[in-house]
Amino acid sequence: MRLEVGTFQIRAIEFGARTGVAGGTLVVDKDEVRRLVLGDSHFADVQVHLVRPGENVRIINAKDAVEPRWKVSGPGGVFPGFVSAPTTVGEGRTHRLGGVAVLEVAEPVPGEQTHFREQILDMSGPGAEFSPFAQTLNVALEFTPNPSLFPSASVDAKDVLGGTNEAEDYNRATTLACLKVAAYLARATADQTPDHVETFELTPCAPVLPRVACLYHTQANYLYGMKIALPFGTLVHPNEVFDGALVGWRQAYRSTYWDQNNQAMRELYQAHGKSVNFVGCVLFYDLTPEREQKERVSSAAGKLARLLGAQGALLLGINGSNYAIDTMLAIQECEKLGIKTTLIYLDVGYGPDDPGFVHAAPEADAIVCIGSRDRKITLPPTAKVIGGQRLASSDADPRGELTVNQRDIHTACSTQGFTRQTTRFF
Amino acid sequence: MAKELEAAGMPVAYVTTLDGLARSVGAPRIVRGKAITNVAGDPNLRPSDEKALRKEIVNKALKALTTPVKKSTAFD
Amino acid sequence: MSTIRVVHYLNQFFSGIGAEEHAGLGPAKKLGVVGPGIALQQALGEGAQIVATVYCGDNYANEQANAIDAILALVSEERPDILIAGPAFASGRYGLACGELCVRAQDRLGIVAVTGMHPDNPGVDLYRTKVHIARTRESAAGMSDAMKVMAQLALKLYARVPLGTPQEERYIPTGRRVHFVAEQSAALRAVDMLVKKMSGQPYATEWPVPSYSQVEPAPPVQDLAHAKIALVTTGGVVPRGNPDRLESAYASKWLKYPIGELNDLKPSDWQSIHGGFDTTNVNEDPNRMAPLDALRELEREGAFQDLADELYTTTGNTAAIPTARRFAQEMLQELRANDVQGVILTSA
Repeated sequence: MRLEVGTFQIRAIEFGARTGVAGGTLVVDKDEVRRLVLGDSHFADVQVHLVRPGENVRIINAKDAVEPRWKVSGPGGVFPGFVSAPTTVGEGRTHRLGGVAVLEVAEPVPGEQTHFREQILDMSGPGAEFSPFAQTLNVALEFTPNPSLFPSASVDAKDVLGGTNEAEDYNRATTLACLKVAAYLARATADQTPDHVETFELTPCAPVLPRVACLYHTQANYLYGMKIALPFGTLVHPNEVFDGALVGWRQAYRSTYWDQNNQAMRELYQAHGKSVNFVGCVLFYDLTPEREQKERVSSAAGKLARLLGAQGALLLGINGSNYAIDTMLAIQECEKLGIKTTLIYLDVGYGPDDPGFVHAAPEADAIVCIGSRDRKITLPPTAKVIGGQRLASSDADPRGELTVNQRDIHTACSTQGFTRQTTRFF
Repeated sequence: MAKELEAAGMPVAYVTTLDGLARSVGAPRIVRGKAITNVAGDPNLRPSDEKALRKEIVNKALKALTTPVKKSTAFD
Repeated sequence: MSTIRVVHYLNQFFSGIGAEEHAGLGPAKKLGVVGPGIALQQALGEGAQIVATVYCGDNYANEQANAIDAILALVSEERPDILIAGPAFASGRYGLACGELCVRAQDRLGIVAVTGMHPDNPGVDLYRTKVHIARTRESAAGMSDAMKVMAQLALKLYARVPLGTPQEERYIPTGRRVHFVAEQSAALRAVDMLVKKMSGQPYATEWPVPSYSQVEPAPPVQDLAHAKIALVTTGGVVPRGNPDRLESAYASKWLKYPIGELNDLKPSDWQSIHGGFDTTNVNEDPNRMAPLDALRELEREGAFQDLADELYTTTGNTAAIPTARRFAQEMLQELRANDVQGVILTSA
């Protein structure tokens, strides 16, 4: 599977009459973007904002972030299962608009699961150091739902654990809209020559190099357009992930953007043929809290790694909920099978008495820490707020000074490997 | 808490879904529960079957209390 | 630069007074070094001097009101810059005295205080977040090593030199976190660590998983058919409406409710207020967390004699070990007073 990713490096973004890329500037036809979104009856309205690094702007109620990409040649299309047919991707040539993200911005709707949903993005000031999207040129889509979808506000919008069907359906629509817009923006480059091209191919390696898999503990996202638990895990090629097969992180702890550019997989590619033989990815997750199910999913994850012949596994884990057990059991399973593991992980400790794990296995002896979920960060008042009048889990004025947790900042607690934030334990 | 009571001479059958955690913490007598949201039950079962499951779990706990242990032990 | 003044604290045994029969000895002081203080003085080097050694019996220090304050007063008289207590190795009472004394020396005298213990010492859980504890072996066989580590820690803290990690400096993790921006991404660090681990090169985790002390298990219930069993839960099960306002997380108290007349826990009367998991299933049937119905049936069938008349309940919190420990101690008194011989403890 050979994937060429051609980058158009974007340095400026502006509205204009016709969407296109020239001389490092992305011009966005606002009316066309609105038409694209409002063709879907889930929406009464959409506002299109262009937001740049350093601006005195705060985006609240942010959800997923997507990088604009378009499939130029090869099988399948971009964002399979949403924008194109749900068939295998990861080959041929894909164009990307480097330095640009399409942001999904929407207030919670009635019946939506809002547990830990707060996602704030400050484009300047101290908060900007924590979110990668304070460094990108953003096309923020602020959605207004069609009121006929939610005739009564009988369901409290706060802390519904499961989420109603209507809310699920609406959330899928906002995800789809972002993907459509992301594809539309990059499509403008279809006939142009990219600034540079990277090639991703897992070429044969010297047999002495250790075989390494990426074990990705995923959660509540879409795979080829389908939202499905993976209780027995599944195998994917990293190129499929780069090509948008895995999308729609609703809680925005993680984001689609950082799967399209998944840093753990990219670093394994960098090391491929030099210090490791990167053999593929195992995705696994299950949503039930039952013990047997945890044993099933973690055992299956280890088995798939073994079927890949892995001698090492890089895990992207989940902490802070009962899913933490699945991550740790998967590590135990791998180590039992002789597969050496490292883990990229988030500290969820509340204070010095709390070691920061929901569950810890002694086998987890090689952890890279991406910071602490409840680290307090004070955001100064902001000149402009995008994304509504109210925060998801606080009554504070979103324009004012806010003291938030690291987890409240957009994609600041992601284990997708890009962050340099870290914590040491003394 | 289980450890502290045990150390003071009071045997404790610790019924938990996080049996791996209990073991790494060093709780002496561990009984594996069903799920975090229902450690001693299962809403998917018929009431009579659920009751039987619960009795089985409690019976395991009683067995744990009457069994001498030297280190952290899970009872199945 | 003037010499750094150090006071060393020891128990009756290490000060050479005697073994267990002298554990009731009150606080006393000698000028200069005593016993293992020689090794400590060597480790401290010339820049610091042990000006006095304060010592006290372990029982006295733990049982007498104001004992620690009396010891602290003796320490304070010497106007020290540093207090070094122990090491206590695995000795529980000694460890508790060293921990408490160090905390008060830091807080009230404003001086550097360091002690040393084996990770299984009960003083570790209580004091590791408040004072630097050198990691020692279980017994005095590790004395000279422990002295070196304690001296290094104390001198660095006194000089305000930032300490390295617990692994590097051989102290017990304090739980203190320092946040910063690394030079490389998490992904790159993880791949490097994995390559090292696979090839057998040394590597260091950025975040050690906690290790827990082991306890001696209690002897089993001898005669279950004639035993009284108590039901305890950390699942936040309370009477509906939570009349005593048990916290949904990080509970500061435990509660007891009469269940002597009940055959089961009815959802109309009981609920779980636990904040750490979805309580829907438990609120549908509280026996799913506190299995009273099954216990009653087994009681009737004669599996055991008697179920204690009260349900003991709190909200689980494996994180705050000192709190859990206090709850256990308080409950233990009640359980003993009610002739309970075994406990079934349920948690999420």
